Amino acid sequence: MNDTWDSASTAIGELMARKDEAVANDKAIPIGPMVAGWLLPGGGHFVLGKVGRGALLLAAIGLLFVFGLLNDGRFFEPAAGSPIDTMGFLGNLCAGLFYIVAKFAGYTSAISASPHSDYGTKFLLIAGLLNVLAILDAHDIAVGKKS
Amino acid sequence: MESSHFTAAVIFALSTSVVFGVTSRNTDAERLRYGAQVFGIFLAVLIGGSWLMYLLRR
Repeated sequence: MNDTWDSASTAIGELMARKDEAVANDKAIPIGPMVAGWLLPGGGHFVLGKVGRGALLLAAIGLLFVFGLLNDGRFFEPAAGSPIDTMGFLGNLCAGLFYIVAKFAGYTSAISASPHSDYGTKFLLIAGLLNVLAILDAHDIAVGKKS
Repeated sequence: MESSHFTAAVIFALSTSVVFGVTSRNTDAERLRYGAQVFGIFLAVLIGGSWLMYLLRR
């Protein structure tokens, strides 16, 4: 009887230890590099000391964003009845400070049927989406999944 | 600024392949190779698709 209780209490102890470990791992989300990566494309890599890769990401995503602005692209606005616009807004927002600075600087673009404006709109959106990849890469480096 | 479709597509291909290369592989050599490969595929599809549409339209 005592053996049964001992083995049961050992098993419960192991489960509790695993739970504590899982909770500790959940808390270890690298917020700093991810926020830095959101604010400035490649910023997470800069924080983690991966300067070369950070510079490449900044140049590539910055090029897309600037090209989007030069082509008179428009930003999406969140709209209650339009999930496409709302998702577009979230995509734009992922470009971090590029988006925030452009909005606060008063950048606007009229909705235009011009193909150039359409390229610009897509480029602004894609810059944000590529930055999501950069943020996830910074996360993987910070938690040790990648070097 | 009014850029051509080709210029826009090349800039898209360049930026996207740089980000894919940087974020997808583990060593610098692998990143360079993968980025160049993605860029080459983008260009091949761009030029091949353009020729295909040109020939279909004739």
